[in-house]
Amino acid sequence: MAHDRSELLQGTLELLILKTLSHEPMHGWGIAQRIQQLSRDVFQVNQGSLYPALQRMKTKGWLTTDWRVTENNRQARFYHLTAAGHRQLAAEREEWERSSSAVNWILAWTGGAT
Amino acid sequence: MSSILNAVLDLVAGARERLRALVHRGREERELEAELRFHLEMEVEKNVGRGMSPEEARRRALVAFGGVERFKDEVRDARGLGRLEDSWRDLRLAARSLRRSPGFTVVAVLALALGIGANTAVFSVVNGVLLAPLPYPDPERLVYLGWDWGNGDRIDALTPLQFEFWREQSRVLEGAATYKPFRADLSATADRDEIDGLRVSADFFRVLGVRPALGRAFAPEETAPGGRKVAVLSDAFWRRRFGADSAVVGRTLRLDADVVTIVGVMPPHFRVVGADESDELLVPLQRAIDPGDEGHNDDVLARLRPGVTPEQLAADLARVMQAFRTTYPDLVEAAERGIYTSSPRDHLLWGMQELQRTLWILLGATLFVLLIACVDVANLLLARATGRQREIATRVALGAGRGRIVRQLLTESLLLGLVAGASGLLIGVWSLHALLAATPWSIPRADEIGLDGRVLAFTLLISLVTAMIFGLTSAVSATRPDLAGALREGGRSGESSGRRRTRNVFVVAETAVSLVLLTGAGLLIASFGALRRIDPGFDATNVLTVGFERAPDGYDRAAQAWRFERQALARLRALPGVTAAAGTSIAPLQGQWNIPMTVEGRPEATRGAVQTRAISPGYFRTMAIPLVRGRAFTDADAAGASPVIVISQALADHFWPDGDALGQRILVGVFEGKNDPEHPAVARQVVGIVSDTRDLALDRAPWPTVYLPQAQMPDGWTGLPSFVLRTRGPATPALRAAVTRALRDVDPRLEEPEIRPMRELLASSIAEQRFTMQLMALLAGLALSLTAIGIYGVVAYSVGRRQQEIGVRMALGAQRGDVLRLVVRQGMHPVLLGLGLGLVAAAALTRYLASMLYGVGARDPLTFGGVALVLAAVAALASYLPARRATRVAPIVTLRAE
Repeated sequence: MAHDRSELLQGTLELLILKTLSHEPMHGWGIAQRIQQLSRDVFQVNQGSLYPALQRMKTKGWLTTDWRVTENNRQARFYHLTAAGHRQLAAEREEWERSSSAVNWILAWTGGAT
Repeated sequence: MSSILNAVLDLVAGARERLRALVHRGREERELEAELRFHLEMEVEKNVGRGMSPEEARRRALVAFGGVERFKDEVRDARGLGRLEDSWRDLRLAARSLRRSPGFTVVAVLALALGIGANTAVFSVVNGVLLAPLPYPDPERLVYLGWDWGNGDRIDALTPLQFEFWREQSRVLEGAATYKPFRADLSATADRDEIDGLRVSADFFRVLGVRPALGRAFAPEETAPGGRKVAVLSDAFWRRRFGADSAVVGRTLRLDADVVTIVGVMPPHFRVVGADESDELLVPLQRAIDPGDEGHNDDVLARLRPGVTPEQLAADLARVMQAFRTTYPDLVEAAERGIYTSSPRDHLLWGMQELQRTLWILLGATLFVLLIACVDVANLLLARATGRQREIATRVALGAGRGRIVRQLLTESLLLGLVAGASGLLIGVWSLHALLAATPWSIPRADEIGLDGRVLAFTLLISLVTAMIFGLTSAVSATRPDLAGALREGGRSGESSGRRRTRNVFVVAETAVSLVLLTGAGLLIASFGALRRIDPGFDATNVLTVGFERAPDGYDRAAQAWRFERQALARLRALPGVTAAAGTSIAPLQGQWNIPMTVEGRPEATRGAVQTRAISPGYFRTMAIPLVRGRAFTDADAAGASPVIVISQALADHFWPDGDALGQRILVGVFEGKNDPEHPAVARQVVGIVSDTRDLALDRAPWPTVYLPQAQMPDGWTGLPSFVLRTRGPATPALRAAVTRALRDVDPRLEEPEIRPMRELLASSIAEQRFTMQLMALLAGLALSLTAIGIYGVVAYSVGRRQQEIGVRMALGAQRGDVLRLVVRQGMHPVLLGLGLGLVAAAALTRYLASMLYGVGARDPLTFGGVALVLAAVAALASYLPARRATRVAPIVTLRAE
């Protein structure tokens, strides 16, 4: 099955969702808005990627869900981080920092031997 | 440690989630709907908050949302259950869609079920006869030993001396055993109560790996000469005779003159494969080895030690051969002679290579039929899919992936395949029974043939594979992306060229396969016709054969045999309606007795197996076998008179290619200088030469034959004689009764004789060829009908699609004949290509039939041309019928229909 656009971002998207949910349970739309807002509109989270990712993470046991009433009185599915989800966040964050600093070192290189 | 634990916990959590999803599938779907609706509404609200009108806000939100269907699919996939759940939905959808078109479904299922059923039936036989291992532990370690004469001749048996020598000396054999059928009387009264049993040698139970369920096997001293008389019963015999009495061990049984102690009972279902008519009762083979007994009469079944490689086995057998030559130098075994091993399957099918070949050919033929059925169904499916083009295009436009659609079409095919498989299984069971009831072969282990796991797996496999083949080809072709076009046109008129090509490829394929089958059947029919026209070398019309299955005691004494024959002939010749009668040791076409012979004074002129027939005077006249030179036997050739012999033309040509056989002398019973010590041969003078006869079977070339006067036969070489009678017209029941009475008058101990017309015997001697021919003709007929249906379907479909074009052509003044020719020509295009390919394939494949053909070459041009013409004619008819229908519709109707 094709994951066209989401494929590139998939790992990162999961990290961002984990981070977003680490503060409070949220519904899907809220997660999308929060990521967009925090990234200062750099990341537009597509529903087509978001919901499959949420489902995947739920299947992996990182998230649980329940239905709650939102502040404007609507039924919405809320996602919570599980203990496994918290561990995963820590692990992915470490991985991200390692690889992004590696990328930064490479970009900072100005030529010549190190 | 904890990371492993966490991983396990994660795994458990994931599994629980998956399980939950499975259980609450319906709810999950509803929740997903609700969640997406919520998302959309929030989006709309946000847009309204930015100052858009509600309509604009909703439109924007929808656009941003993208293809709903597709990403619902993705969420389902992410749920991990997606596939499973999709499959379930696809299955229900498929069932509904098949139910909606019962005509299509019935035709498709029927075509496939016939193909699958034929395959199941033939495979059951192949499985039971050629594939299933022996029903003993570790059957792969069992081999039969045989003797290789070094000149290409082999016999799947050993002499008693060889058997014992290899049993004792071999280091790789765990044991070797032999078994001999016998028949004994249990009643000790005049009303014989006979049982068929086996005498088995010492290692028998160890070699088979089967122990008695009750009691014990034979002790070593019981299998030695002069040992105690003991017996082991089969389970069936034990139940029948002793009511399954568990205290049977120790009781006794009368076997002819002996009193035998029962020591054990075999487990249920135990059988001695290869001697299963005789495994009711096992007794020890108590024999002393006579080194002078050079008859290869012991079937030797051996068990290899675990882990013995073929190389080790060969090396060990060769080593023992060396020892054998050293121990018995007087047996002068030439260097090229030696032991070989054959698999139990090859041993049981010894001399039945024709059956094996026939089975593989039939399996190939049934697979071909299935292939044709498969192509037919693919074609039907493709036509159906084209009809559903709009439905498919709409679904794709809504965002369903091509894979998703292919998957759904495939599910439909799989369902079709499984339903056909189940129906095919029923047809298969039914035809298997019919096949086994009708087969003229005595198929080894026939009672074991049936549905086992392997047959069921085979049926399932071919059902699934055929479903994949027709499903994939049609689904891929149906979803080939020309969707925009399909939507725009509204799926109207004309057909994409790609799809028409697929359809034509189908026709090419089934025509080619069908032609191969028809050619095979055609060759077998031609061959059978040639067989029936063979002159057997005697006149079979109005000739009866009279024989007995069992002989009373005393007929091994030549004097008694001859006295009986003379008296019986006197009475038979006196019967009204009988014009001639003669005696013969074995009735023609009912068996063969061979002994070796050597020309006196020419030690090199020797032959191991010459058919030998002991006859009374009048045999050649009764059978109408022409005398070529010399004279036939007369009453003067009596016991004390000078020994004479009549030989067949083939034998005369063999030993005297340029000379004259008459007056020469032959030693019957002498081979390579060795004489039979019990019956030292006398030299017999050749007094006559008769023309060759096919008295073994119509399809077997005349065997070199010697005829001896019954009156001059030595003791031990005779048995109860058989008779041939020439009658004035067909035999009546009264004549048969009179024959029985006449013979019983001479010896009241005789049982009811078997009286059969010679014509019937001739026909049944080629019954196997007839059966194979009929089966192949049946399969070829099936293939031809399926192909005709396929071609008809394709042409009818394409004519239907081009109705408008045809209407326009006719409205513009085209003649009906022109249009007909156009349509038929286009329909025949792929057929002709298929015929060409089929002829090439048939020319390559029919050589496998060559050994089964008589009087017709494997590439007989007449047959090849004939079947190609038949197929072309049928195809032309199948194209013509729909074409004619199309041209009958008034042009205006078709134009309006658009």
